[in-house]
Amino acid sequence: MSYTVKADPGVTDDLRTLKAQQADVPLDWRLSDDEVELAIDMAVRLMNSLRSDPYQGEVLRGKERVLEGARRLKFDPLDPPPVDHRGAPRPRMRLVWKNEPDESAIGLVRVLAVCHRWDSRPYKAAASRLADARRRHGKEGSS
Amino acid sequence: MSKLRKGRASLLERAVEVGPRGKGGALLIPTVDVEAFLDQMTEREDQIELLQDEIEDLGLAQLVSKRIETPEEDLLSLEELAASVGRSHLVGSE
Repeated sequence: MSYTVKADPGVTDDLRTLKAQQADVPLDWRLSDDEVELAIDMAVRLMNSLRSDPYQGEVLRGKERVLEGARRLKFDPLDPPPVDHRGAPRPRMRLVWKNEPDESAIGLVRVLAVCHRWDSRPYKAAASRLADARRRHGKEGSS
Repeated sequence: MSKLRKGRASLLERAVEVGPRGKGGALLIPTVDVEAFLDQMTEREDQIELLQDEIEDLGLAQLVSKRIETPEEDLLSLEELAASVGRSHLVGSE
């Protein structure tokens, strides 16, 4: 059985910008240039493998409603992947897709994202909010 | 220090500065305090990891919420996607 796998156009951007994204990633999570190339290879191979097995990875059941029913597969260009402080494997990349319309009758495997697991945006947003609060606090203190 | 049995929350509370000719430069810390400190560190690392998982899902949700609405006709075939990143040779029959 072969399933139809299609990717969001944003996935192309995910892969093309993976190298540039590493500048924002802390050193212990960062991919080297060689690892970025390997990660892109792996991502394409994994997407290809969804044609025969779209049930890989784990179903996301988090608090985020939009993620419900989507699947995530963590992977890493290094084999074995880096480990966390407990010695447990900590793959740095993830592939996210959704089987549509549902898992029992798949008409389309929609690849939604291929990205590094370190997402710097929430940290940047928090840093910006903190800086705003400090500026406000400074103004109030000087008035 | 060897008689101490219970670690303190602060690593430096019972530390003693030592060094050649009374000039300091090194700290002598009870083993139980170091062990207590390392336990605290592990606990913090576990908490940080949990928070990172939460942040990971939040960031992902933000990204996916826009993409889930993309009309099917605008999606790329695997062949198109692979070609766009120079990986056409990796896509074939599974």
